[in-house]
Amino acid sequence: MTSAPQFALVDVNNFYVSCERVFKPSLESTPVVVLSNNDGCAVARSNEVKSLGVKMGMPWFKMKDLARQHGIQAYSSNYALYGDMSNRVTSILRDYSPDLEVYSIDESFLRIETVAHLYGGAIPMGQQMRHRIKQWTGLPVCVGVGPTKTLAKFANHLAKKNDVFNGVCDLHAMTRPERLEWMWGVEVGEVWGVGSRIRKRLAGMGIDTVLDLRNASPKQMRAQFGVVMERTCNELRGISCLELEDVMPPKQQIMSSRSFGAPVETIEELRESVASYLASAAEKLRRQNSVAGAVYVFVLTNRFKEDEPQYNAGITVPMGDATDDTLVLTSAALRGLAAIFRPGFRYKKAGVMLTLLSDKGARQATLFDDPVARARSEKLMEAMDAINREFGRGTLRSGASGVAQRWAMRAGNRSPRYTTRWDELPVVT
Amino acid sequence: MIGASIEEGDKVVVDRAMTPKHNDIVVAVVEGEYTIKRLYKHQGRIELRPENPAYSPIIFNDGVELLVWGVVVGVVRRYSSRG
Repeated sequence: MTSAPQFALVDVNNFYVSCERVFKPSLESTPVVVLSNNDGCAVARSNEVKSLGVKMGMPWFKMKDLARQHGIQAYSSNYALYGDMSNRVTSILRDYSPDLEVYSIDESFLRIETVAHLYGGAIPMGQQMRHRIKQWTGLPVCVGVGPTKTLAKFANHLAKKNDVFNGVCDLHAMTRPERLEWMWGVEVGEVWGVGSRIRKRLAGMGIDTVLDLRNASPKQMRAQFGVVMERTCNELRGISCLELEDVMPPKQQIMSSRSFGAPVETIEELRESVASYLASAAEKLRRQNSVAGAVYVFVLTNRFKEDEPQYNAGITVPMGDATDDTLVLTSAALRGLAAIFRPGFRYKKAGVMLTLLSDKGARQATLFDDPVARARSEKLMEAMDAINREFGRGTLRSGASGVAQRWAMRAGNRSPRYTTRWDELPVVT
Repeated sequence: MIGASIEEGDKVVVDRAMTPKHNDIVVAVVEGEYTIKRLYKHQGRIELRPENPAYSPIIFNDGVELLVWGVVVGVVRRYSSRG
């Protein structure tokens, strides 16, 4: 038996759309699109929608005509449903291997070199996973297997795009010339970690396919793009550089922003939204035990409304002492907002980002540190989080976030939360 | 599904992980809609049979796919709307 690492990447096909289809079977084989928060743009597309030429991120209003013409069903994001379905898939996968990294809501990496033989190899194992996840959850998945994470990702891409693999592609099961030929057939932008900007630069160097990147000199890649690209290059050659990460590292910045349901023109309403986004960001900050050294606030108008005057601006407000206190952070954010706000525009979106995060335990005391005030603030924040956990988000909030919230998120056509609410269970008639 | 002690307004417990067998009560998908029926799967015949004799069975001939969503393993019924 070999101990060389063997990674599997299991990925749900068109995850959000597939979740919708599990509970509404009539959507099978109809074109379906799921829209982002606020019904802004496409975040998931069924294959039928993809072949109509709808791109990821296309704004809804730009595809409305197409939707009418082809009967595209559009759904608002239903994160309660997607999150729950995601957990179900993960818990099935944990039965296959204890070494698992949940990489995103619809993808997990597994180490399988010590267990694959129990199933007669990686391919039968992958087929069983596929079958089981389909039967138990209703969701279709593809499995890619390779000696590195980057290659497992690549194998998953092949499994998804080529029917010959029947949903499971194991690079180990190929001969070397076969592997290289598949690499030659896929463009380099599909490689994990190669974004559109890097892809353009690579094209300038004559690197167009996965094979070109595999054959590039890792040293040269490092010189051009840095250590991450060198690693990618090595991983494509089968040298494993990336381990499974079982614990998510604390976030380096926390962002909270939304598009408004209706355009916002007054600073009062902007203040409310900024305060409310800040409250949710600060709650996340406290959950990961960090403090923020600065708050970035931004506002912008709708760039798709070409006939309206456009404005976008942002400002970073440094905190004297790094803090996790919602009230202190809010007042900083609102000072920032006052500085960038210009009347006479129809704002589409606002947001806050907490930056310069550091570990709360390691906080530096400064000259103006006030231990009494700090203890009081800590108690207040604890109470606020506890109440909001118990009675629902936003039960207790700073007065600045307002009461009416006319700008609150639009979710016009959200499906029922089938799996997490008793009163929204699917109904058989 | 009257006759199998499932009534209007009941909650049914559905196990998707079970492989449906002859005589199981199942949630199936017929023409894009859910339905609850008894599965008849015997000597090559596959049918979805209603318990209520007033309705007729749905027969699956060769080449027609029956999609079973899950096996009904229990029912939860509320007797009183108070409390």
